[in-house]
Amino acid sequence: MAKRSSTFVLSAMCFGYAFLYIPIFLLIAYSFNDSKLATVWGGFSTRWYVELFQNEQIMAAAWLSLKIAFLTATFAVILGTMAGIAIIRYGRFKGRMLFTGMITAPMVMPEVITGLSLLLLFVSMESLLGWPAERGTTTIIIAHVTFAMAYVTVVVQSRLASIDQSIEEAAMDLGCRPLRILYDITLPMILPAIISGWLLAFTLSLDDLVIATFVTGPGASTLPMVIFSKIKLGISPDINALATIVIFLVFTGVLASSWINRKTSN
Amino acid sequence: MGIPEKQDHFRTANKSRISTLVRNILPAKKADEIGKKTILAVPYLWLSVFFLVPFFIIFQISFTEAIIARPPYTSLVEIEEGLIQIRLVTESYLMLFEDDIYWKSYLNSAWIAATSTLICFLIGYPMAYGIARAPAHTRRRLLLFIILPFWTAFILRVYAWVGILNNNGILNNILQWLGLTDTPIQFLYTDFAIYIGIVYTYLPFMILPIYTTLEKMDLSLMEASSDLGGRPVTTFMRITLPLSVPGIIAGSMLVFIPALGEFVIPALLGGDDSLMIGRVLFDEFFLNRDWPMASTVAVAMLIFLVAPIVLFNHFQSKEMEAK
Amino acid sequence: MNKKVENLSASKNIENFDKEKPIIEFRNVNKKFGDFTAVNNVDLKIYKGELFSLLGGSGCGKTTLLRMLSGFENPSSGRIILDGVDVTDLPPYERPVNMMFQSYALFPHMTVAKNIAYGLERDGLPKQEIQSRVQEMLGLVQLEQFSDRKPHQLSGGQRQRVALARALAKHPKVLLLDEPLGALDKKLREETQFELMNIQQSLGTTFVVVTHDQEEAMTLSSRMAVMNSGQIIQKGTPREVYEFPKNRHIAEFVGSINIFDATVDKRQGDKIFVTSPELNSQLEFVNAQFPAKNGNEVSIAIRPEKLKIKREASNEAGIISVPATVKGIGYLGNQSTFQAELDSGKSVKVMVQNMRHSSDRSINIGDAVYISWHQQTALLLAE
Repeated sequence: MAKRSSTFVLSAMCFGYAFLYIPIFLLIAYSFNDSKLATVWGGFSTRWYVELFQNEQIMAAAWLSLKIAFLTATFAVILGTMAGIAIIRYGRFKGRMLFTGMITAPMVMPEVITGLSLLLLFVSMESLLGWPAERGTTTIIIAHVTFAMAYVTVVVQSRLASIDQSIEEAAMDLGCRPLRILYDITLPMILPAIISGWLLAFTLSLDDLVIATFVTGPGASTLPMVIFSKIKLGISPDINALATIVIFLVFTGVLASSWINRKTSN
Repeated sequence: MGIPEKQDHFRTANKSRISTLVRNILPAKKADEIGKKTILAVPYLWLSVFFLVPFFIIFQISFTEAIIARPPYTSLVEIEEGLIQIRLVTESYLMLFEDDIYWKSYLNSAWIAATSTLICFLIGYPMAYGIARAPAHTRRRLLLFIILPFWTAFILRVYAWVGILNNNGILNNILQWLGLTDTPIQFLYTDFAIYIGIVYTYLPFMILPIYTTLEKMDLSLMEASSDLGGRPVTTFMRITLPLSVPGIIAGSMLVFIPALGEFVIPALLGGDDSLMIGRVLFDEFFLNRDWPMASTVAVAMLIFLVAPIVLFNHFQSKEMEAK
Repeated sequence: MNKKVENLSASKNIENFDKEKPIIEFRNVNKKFGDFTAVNNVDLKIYKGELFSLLGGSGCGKTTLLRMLSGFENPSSGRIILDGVDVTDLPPYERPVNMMFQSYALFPHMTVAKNIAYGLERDGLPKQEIQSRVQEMLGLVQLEQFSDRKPHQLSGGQRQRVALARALAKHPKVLLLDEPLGALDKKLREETQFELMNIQQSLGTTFVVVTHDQEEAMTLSSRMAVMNSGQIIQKGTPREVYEFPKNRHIAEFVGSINIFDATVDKRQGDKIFVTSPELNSQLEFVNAQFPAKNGNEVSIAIRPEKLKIKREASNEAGIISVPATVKGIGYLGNQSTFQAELDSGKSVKVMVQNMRHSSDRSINIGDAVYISWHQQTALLLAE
């Protein structure tokens, strides 16, 4: 009986991992296919990579997306860390319910609603305050920070909750002021969470298509937007090449960071 | 101006110690207080402006009328002859019920999201179980490979399926090579492709919370069941499964909620006739430029999602308390 | 008290048990986890109605032995016989033994009554009988009014009793208890000890207890086995193990004891003469079987309560006195402990019962005193 159940679990796992990874491997394989048709193997080639790097539209969009993601992650980490500290260390305060609600809601909110609501906000602000005069990079960053900071908060929050508060109390007992404690004790201890929160926010921003489509203006097309419009027209092999590069970067990045994590934790 | 005077007064009247106290401690304490307040106020303000206020705006615009202008909707509050008039237009809400495209796409979205959630559960639970019961060092690696696809661009992972499900994609090729079919089967641009896309994208979100509950479950509970005469299947049904319900609910919500409002997957993998509410909202906004209608759809969608979101939050906070 | 080993036969203390038919028998049981030997060649018989303790430090193999008995681990070699049936290859759910887990392992999603009924339901008993059995068990552990509570609504002591009731509900042939009192605080632990013994006596079920707490093992058990690095070092009644520890490890593990290094001078018939530089004296022991030759290093062990502390040396026959200086006094209410230093620099612990107006109280730190003991209370231990 136990044998049979473990065989079942094992085959389910094999199926699951195959399901997750076969599409990824196929993408990589096709990126080196000389033929434009997915069905025909036209021999090994790197021509799609050359084409990709010569595609100015994609390159510009990639650069814009990276810029947005970098700024989003940085702002989201600052705001998210503040929110995390407030939730864990402040105990009860006025409007706590609303605050925690506003932290978790963006994570479960459908993207179309977040995107639409932010756009409507920007439009109203424009007509009331005259700002933002035109939508584009800035509005995308504001939108991304808003939903990315929620994730940062959760990461920071769980790290903070696991830290013994008596360490901070010991610092206070030794004559340390609250803000000093924040810089000397709390922030260094939650640094790993801040870093992973930054990476998470960076990825979320880089990944987002729907919200950016809503809040962007003329001239600011992020990478997912360009890819989306290209895919709408059908298969384009240079996207395979792009995907392979992304996969390569992500896999080496994640594997390296987990390796470093394990080394340092040991 | 008054402060030096006060200090002088203290100095002459009493010990300099008190003035030092006043000078050093009070301002510092004030700074601490301000610092503490800033930490809360900044994110609070940000979220209020960019998350809370927009909902009121959506709600407000859903009661206006589409016009050709900039912005393309009528104003809710008008000042006419010195009087403030509120013009509530419920036309969009009536449309919601009159035009069957809306409620049909709501139902269809709910159906697709629910079915995908079930499929994710059926695939994800055994995987989460297998990972949780693997030896510690393998466990970390297995988990890493569940999370890895999440970090690669979502749109590229959806795109991978375009290449697979195509009429001359790899799946049809294999089926034809096996002789199972002569002519290519239409996989792409069908609901089937949407299911695949949703399950593929959201499977990790089902696995991770289930894994978490299974991993921290006290193994001696299973041993106790076995010791008391429970066979493996009984132990699983009576102990393991009921105790993993919080994880199953969290995972289901993490799949169901985004799947319900999904736009990219039906837009890229679904057919023109596969209606999902996220896509309807998107089209209403970008193609028809009917902002009030899009807002109304959004409001209705929110109402639709309140129950699962509240359920999710309830279980999350219960989990937090348990810790 | 001061008998020789030979005079104390083990059979006297377990004569109530049917020696012909052990209920549990470990035959050459070994358990290896990779390279690590958790249980090394254990041969052990436990008789019906016993309250048997497996005592040892962490990692000594006691828990593994228990888990092999319940079926959660399979021995690498050897057999386990339960009431005449070889159960070595049976899964846990087919063995007529039940376990009380260290963590209690109460099912958090079930009420107390449901927890207790769980094992009975697995046996497919009729509903009526399950109900009455659950009531009986609730009565046994005095938790009738808590039957509808969930485990997290109970105190630690109550949970412990639910775990006991659940394990006993199926009327197992043997009840296994893994550190049964480990999670309770000291006061509750003492009360529960006696409750556990009462229940065991009234039901007559064989109990096997795993514990690292020697006091607990001594109080509870009819017999005990002391384990170290996977082996059973000594088994016997608590008194046998305490009074006549087999070696230095057991002497130090069970109760507190003073140990002095010594050398064998000569053997004469069944007499052994040893010299201890630490005690600064020569001592005489009677033990024909003691496995030591002239010149061998041995240990002399004396329990603190067998020592006396006086201002004068004693010159009674059979009493040995050595001079010492008092370094510390600990007052524990019913008794006092003295920390004294011998002339050799060796530190000695003396435990004195506090009688009313005890003259011992007049001894103060820094006083020159004599430590004395009866020759027969000292133990000779091979290194």
